[in-house]
Amino acid sequence: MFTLVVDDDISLRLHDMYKVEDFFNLIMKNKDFIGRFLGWAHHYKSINDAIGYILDTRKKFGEGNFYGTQLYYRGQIAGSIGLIIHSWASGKAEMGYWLGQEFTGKGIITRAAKALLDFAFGTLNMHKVIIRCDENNTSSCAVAERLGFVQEGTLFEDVLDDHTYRTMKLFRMMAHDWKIERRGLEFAHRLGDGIELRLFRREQADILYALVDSNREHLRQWMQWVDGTNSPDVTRGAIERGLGRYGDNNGLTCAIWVNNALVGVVDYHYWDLRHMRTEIGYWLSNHATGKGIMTRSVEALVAYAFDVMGLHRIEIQCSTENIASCAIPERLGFTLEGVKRCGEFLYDHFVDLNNYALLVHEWDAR
Amino acid sequence: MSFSYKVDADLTLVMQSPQDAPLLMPLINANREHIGAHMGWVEGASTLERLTQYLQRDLKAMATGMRNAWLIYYRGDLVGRIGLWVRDPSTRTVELHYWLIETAIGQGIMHRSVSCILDYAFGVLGLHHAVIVMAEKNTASQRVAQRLGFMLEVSKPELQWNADVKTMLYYGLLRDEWVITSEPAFTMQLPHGVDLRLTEVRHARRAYDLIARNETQLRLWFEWLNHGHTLIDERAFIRIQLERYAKGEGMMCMIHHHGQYVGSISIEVDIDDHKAQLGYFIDQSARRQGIATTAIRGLLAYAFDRRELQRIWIRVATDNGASRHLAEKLGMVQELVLREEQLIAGRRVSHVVYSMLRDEWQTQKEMQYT
Repeated sequence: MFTLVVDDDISLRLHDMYKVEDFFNLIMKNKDFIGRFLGWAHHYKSINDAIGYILDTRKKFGEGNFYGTQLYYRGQIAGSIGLIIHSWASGKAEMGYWLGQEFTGKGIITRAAKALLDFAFGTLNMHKVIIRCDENNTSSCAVAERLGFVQEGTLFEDVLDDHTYRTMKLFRMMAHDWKIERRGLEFAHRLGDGIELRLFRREQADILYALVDSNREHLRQWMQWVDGTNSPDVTRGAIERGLGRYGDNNGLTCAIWVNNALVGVVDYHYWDLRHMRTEIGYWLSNHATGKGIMTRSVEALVAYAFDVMGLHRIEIQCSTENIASCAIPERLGFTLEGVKRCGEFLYDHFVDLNNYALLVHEWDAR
Repeated sequence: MSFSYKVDADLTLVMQSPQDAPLLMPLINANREHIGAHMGWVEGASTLERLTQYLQRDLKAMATGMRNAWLIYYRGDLVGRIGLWVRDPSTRTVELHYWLIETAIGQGIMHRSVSCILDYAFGVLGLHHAVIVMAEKNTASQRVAQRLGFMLEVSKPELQWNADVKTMLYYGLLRDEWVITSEPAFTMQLPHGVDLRLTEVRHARRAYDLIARNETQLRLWFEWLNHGHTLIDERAFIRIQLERYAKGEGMMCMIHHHGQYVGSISIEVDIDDHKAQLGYFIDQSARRQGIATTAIRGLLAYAFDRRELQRIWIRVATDNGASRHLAEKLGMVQELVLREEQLIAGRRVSHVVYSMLRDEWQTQKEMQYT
């Protein structure tokens, strides 16, 4: 769902189930080619290996340790590149990558790596990024050298891979040696007109808190958690829980950014993969309402849930009196299934909730 | 509206619940010196918040099946507390802990309470050895133990919470030395021979068997049954329910009818929104006798009157005619249909949501009385 655009040809998509078959097929086709230096490729047997790997990267992402991506070249999956965060405190990360054989020799990895390094140093404020590659993997080592990495040493028989020890070359790039070309790169789902859905990062607790704090009156009308959100620690906890849910493959919280300003939140409360259903919730800061921002954001989540995740049913609950909020599911073709009387307690009174739902066949027939 | 057992005409033991702290606090405050003289925890239970934490910790331990506690009511008044704690299940030794307020001492209340809990520990739980630990200076407690036939097993100095060293006495009683005269069951008594009992881990086998007996039908309503439900799953499920109970977030009960275990009923409480979802099932052999109606009314009373919730709701498969009929008979209002909401045994199932609000419950109650 979230991509980092490198250039007209290349984009990096945080691992998800979109085109997972293509990802698997690429690995199967390049088993021996990739497997020369990355032993795991030999063990790929079924699509479940790819799905398992993606869920595993998701878990690590949720914990804040891994930006793993599928590398798209002119609309096709060409390989993978990722950033493992070894330590946020010391600002230390490691970059890894591989390409399918048919995509080599075009400078793809070098271009992708440059953008990812801009992201690492410019957005994540990393201090040092390392690359480790097998000493015999000349093309991978060449990428590191071409990027200006310095060889820091050789790690003798450092990795046991398929019963043989690999000796690895260790390269480094320091923040002060890297010239950032593009500042503020982000993984995002772009909806046009400057509207973007992004994942939260833990350090954004402060800006999320500031947004809530400057919208208390507006949000308090319909949101139960506003009074309890009395310090950035609370928003930090909320971000943490959101990322944790995503890591557990049980929901996703998106920050809504318009022209690089945070304006609201839209989320899947959960992903019930047994019954193939979810519920979407959202809120917007006062000054961002009335511009169709939320309708487009919710529509994006609806499309992703049905088209990529294959869910069957999406639910939205809004207070019956919250006209603006109710207008969103109504505009998107949801059916009002009924009213939950006294469904929610807001500080000192109960409100009734409209229960809207949209089914996948209704979405497909629109 | 609690799980209780009437020991005799004057004495009732009520199973501890998370809502008990406000009841106990004034009692502890008024008897701080008296109880605190021999028990360290009293000083720690200085505020309602702290006491609530203590109770929740106790209740959480109940989820392991190793701990339980009861409030002692004498002629309608709360006068003390008694608890049991199995520190090491392998030895089947149970420790009893208790206290009474000063004014209740000398009427044989603790003697009768301990007798009841001994019947429960030896007879119902199948434990082997009961121990009461007390300070050497606590002569009232020694008299209780001695009169019940406990023997002094150990006497040793022990470091106390406040760094004092006190001589502690360990009085013990073996199962063989005790004559069981009752079979206490802590129940929420309802009309028409129906009662509810909190489902504990030790009930897992029976709960599992009941589900197994009704599996064909339950599979149509509960998807989790279609993924293989084992006794171990059931035990884990009960443990989770008891942990929720400790936090006031839910309650799962066994329904008994004239002493026969015939079904299960539970509520899941959403504390923030003052609402709860109710669910139940009745054994095939016990249907059409109004048992579910009585059990649900009992739980509605608990939810509205004791827990003061605002909204109780229930989710019924659209094609489950019996349950829909029952919800309507109970005066619940049909609010909505959750279309194709669940995937059960490969089939898309829609659910109807019925609910009752607090004032509707009040009106119903008033109509019954007039």
